[in-house]
Amino acid sequence: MRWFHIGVKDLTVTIRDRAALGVLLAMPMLLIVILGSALGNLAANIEKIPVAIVDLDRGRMGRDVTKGFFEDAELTKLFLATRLRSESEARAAVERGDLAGALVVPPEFSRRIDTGKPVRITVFTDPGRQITGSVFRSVAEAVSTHVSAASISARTSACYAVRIGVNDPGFIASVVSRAVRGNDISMLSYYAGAMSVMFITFGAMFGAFSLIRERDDWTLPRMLMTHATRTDIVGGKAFGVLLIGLGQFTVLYGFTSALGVKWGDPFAVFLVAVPTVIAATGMALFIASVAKTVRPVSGIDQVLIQAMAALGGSFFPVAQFPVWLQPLHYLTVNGWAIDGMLSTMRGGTAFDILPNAGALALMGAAFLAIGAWRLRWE
Amino acid sequence: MSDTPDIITVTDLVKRFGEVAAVDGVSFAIREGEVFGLLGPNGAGKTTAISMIRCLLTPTSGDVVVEGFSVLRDPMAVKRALGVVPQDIALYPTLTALENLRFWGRMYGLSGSLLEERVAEALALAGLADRAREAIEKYSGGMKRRINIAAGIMHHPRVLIMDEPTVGIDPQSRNHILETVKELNRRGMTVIYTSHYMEEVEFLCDRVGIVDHGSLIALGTIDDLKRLVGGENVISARVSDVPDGVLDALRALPDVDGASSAGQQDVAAEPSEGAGAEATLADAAGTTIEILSHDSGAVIASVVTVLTGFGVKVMSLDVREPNLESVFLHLTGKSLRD
Repeated sequence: MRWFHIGVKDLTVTIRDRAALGVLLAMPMLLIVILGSALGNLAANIEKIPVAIVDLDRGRMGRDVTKGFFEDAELTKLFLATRLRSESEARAAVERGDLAGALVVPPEFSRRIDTGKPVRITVFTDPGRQITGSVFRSVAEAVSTHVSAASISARTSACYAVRIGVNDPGFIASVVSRAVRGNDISMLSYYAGAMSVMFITFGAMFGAFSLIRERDDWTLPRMLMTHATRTDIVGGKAFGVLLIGLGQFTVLYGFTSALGVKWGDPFAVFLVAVPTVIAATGMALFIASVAKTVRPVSGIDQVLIQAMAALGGSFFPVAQFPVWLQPLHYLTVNGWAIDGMLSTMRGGTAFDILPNAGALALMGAAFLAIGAWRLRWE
Repeated sequence: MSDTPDIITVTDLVKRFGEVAAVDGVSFAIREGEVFGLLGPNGAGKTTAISMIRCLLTPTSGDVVVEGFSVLRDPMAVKRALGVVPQDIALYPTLTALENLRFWGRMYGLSGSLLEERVAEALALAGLADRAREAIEKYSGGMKRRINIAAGIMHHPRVLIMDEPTVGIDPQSRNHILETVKELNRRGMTVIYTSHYMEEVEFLCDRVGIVDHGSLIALGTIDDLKRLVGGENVISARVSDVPDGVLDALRALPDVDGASSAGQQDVAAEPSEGAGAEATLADAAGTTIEILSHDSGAVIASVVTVLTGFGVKVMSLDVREPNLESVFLHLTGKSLRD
């Protein structure tokens, strides 16, 4: 249990350090409020999303599904739609990152609906455009669901299917509203997630400072002269960073919730937050292992933590990056963590964020392993 | 004391850092219940040797056996027998004395009522029970050192290693620490005490090992060591300055066996904080030149002649019995503080 006492001691030391509390709590609170207010809501910040529409049906229902993207006032405000002739062409454009998504209406679509047979609309989205891609997916899914309803009703009444056509303005407005604003991805929500993640990694920097300072102040060598093993000490220091990170996230979660941010399923949020803090803990040990004194930690912080924050979307949404830069956010702790948190805010479940939790846990394990292996004790 | 068993045996201990041998084939034994002093100038290898005894550094070769356990094969058993008071104040400044002692007690495996009992005992020994709930950062240097010692004895070790525990503190705290060491020894604790303050070593230690350039150059009781100097006395001259060449000129005199100089650094006069204050004191008091001679009466006049010949103002001159400083001078030809 010595690791437990080392971790609790580190938490106590941090709580009594006003400068550290300022950086770990006051700064993110301030930035969340300033950036969230200054940059307004997300819809206002998203430029027209480039998408492709492929109508292989060329029948009445195919026209109904697709014409809204070119004629409807709500949808044309949101999407810059281009007609393409083939599914492969649309898919290639999405894969190249030229488009945020593509919707493909299959051949025989109208005939199958009219005869009550199952139909399938295909939607491609670019995983690198986390927000715009998800907006398009939401609209396309809503259209698809609507068409399914039309298909079912067509089995009993063809007239009814016509009455609830997908170009119904009321329906479109509701779909757009749900995709953009209904899940609370306001800039305040975005920065609640983004800044929380960034400052958790800053917390890790404090963990690295703490380990090096203990080495310089002789408390680490003194610990080595007690009955504590190296495993106790590494475990205890990591536990300390973990406690600080979880405490920090809990405070920021409470603060932003009070401001109206809807984080979504608490269990799913917990499932993203814990591996995020574990990954940050791993970073702390890694930084402490490569820095000989406190000063280089600041340098490594600039390179590692700031770069991860910038690439991972802590400063600006990844969707607003150049297309070629967007995939790089998957190399960062921030990218996976922010993705996961935005997913829970959009209503994602614990199951939905498992890939994010897994990626973060893997990053944490890799950093911890390298850090523990390389750590200098004297 | 001579027939008591050895509690620590150091055999052919070597520690190399690259080409440099910080400790070079040191062997000695420490008897149970004694206060053993390790004396030597800064950089002599004391702290490196101590670091190997306390399992902080791995020897390049040789071994240390503590209570039958080798530092190479069973370091955890060695650590259980040892208490360590490091040279630096290894405490958490924003935690209170109580919190620091509880933390270090837990690191030694204490818990529950035993932990609380040992914390109270340690605070009483440090004489700081009434200030236990104050943050360490608010303590004076001497008070910090007392808690630093208290944190090292929470688990009632058989052997206590104290590495220069009185550096930079006021005379009152220094006396408290020296009395604490005596008290712990009276309770049966074996103490290894390293210092370059010969007065402390003479006051505390039953036996002393003198280390220089990584080697043990003498070992014995203080009387044994003084006998090494033979019939020599120390001529101590307080002078205004030490020009280049004056020490060589003194060493060249007939009947002079060694000469060295040191700034005024009497521990009792050393201020607790601030190098600037220390420098002022030394400047006002001048510098001391010590000359080792087997015929001090015959050589005094020549010493004064040499000093005045170099334009040195002699403020006082006295002849005294040899001490550990003169032993070191006799053995190495230089001062402990050179």
